[in-house]
Amino acid sequence: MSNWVKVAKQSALPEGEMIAVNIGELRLALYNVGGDFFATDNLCTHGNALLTNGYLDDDVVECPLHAGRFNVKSGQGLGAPITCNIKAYPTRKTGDDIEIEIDAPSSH
Amino acid sequence: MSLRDLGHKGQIIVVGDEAWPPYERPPLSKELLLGEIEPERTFLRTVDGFNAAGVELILGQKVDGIDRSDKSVHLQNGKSISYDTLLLATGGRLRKLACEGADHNKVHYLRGLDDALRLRAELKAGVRVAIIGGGLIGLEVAAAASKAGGKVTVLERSPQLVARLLHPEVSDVFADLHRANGINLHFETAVQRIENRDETLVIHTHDGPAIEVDIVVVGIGVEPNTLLAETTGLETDNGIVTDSRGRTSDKSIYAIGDVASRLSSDGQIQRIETWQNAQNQAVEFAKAVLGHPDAQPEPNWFWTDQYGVNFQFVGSTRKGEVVWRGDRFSMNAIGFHLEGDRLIGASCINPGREMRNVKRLVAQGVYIDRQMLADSRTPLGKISVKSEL
Repeated sequence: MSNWVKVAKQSALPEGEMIAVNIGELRLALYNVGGDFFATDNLCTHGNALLTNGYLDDDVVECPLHAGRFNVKSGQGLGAPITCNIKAYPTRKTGDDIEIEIDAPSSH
Repeated sequence: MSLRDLGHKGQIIVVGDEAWPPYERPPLSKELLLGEIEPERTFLRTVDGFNAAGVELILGQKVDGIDRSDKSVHLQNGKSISYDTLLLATGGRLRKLACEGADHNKVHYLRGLDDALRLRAELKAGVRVAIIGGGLIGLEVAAAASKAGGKVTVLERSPQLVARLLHPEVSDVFADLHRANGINLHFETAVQRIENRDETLVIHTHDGPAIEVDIVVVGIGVEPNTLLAETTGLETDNGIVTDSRGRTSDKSIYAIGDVASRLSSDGQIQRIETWQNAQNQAVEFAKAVLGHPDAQPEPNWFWTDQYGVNFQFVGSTRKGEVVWRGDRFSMNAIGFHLEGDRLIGASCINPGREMRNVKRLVAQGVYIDRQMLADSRTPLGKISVKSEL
């Protein structure tokens, strides 16, 4: 079963910026690319660093640890040193809010 | 993969003497050794991934010889492969300890995946480890062994750690960090022999006490793997000699990475053993072969992660003078390397987002006011290029 979770107000995240948001134990990165919002896991798949401590250029986020890059829309790793894509989550705008869809834990 | 990304449609065959598909080395002495990942996470692509891109992998095969007049390569299994263009990326060959007792099976090296897995199996709580060589490999192994609960001694023959690459003031930071984590460091120490006393190894040095350990790890560097190039008659000199685009003395053969002794854009001949160099030269090779122009050269960059501290190095980090921004022993600082008033490099300790500004400043080779560099209140992003003083 999937869940849409409200994580931030649209007005809180200007264009070209990213913020860290937590949903339970999930640590996510929320990006504003040209007025549209995208979300991925925040912990880089390559090293122990948060992508939100790195750099966002258009739709590419660069990790500050070893300059690994991901497309924030798809989570696709963009070449070395990344060997594992990052998980991307669907997002939507609802009113003035930004919501991220996560998989709720199953009850059994 | 760069050839494919750039549109090359011709046949691509990669021959490697290991059974593993191509993999990244940096995690071998870090996450893999720490038990945080398994080999599959180090692969550049799976075999299927390469095949899907039309890249044929021939694994576990040694190249026996190259016939340059015939333009073919001979494998140990007797097969021959023809080429239009040949790329040699044979890397480095471990420098081995030559003293008596060095061939014991508890003496480990760390170059490939097999080495890393074999070493990892030994790193348990209470294991006594001697590490010969205080370079980056030795230190990363020390950090992993210590995290596993081992008791670690590092033996370095020069007066400082990471002597090949770093200024003594930067090496001091590593010494401090390792000592704070319980590592014993011995400098200006040479190993005379390794004695096997009932499965305890006893390391005899020329002037210190004998050190009793369960395993030894040797990290004393690599030599360029030029044997094949030499027997083929290509020019070699501390590596396979190439021009600035990677071409060897035979215009159909290129060499890149740890094995290549390359003429750089500023007229120097260098052989660089970093991950970034191998990566960049690989992309440059694809461009050269397909007739694309060279990219703008980037300053040399490499990193190490030890005890959760990220170190990044740009440009020239061994000589000259260091101006520190922040307290270097607080594990959050940047050491700017200066030659006169010109910024030639930087050694960064947990720099985080500052790294981008640092790389920009080093790439520009700015003439700079030391006080601005040292003053943490002046944002690096605000320091701009000045004309030559």
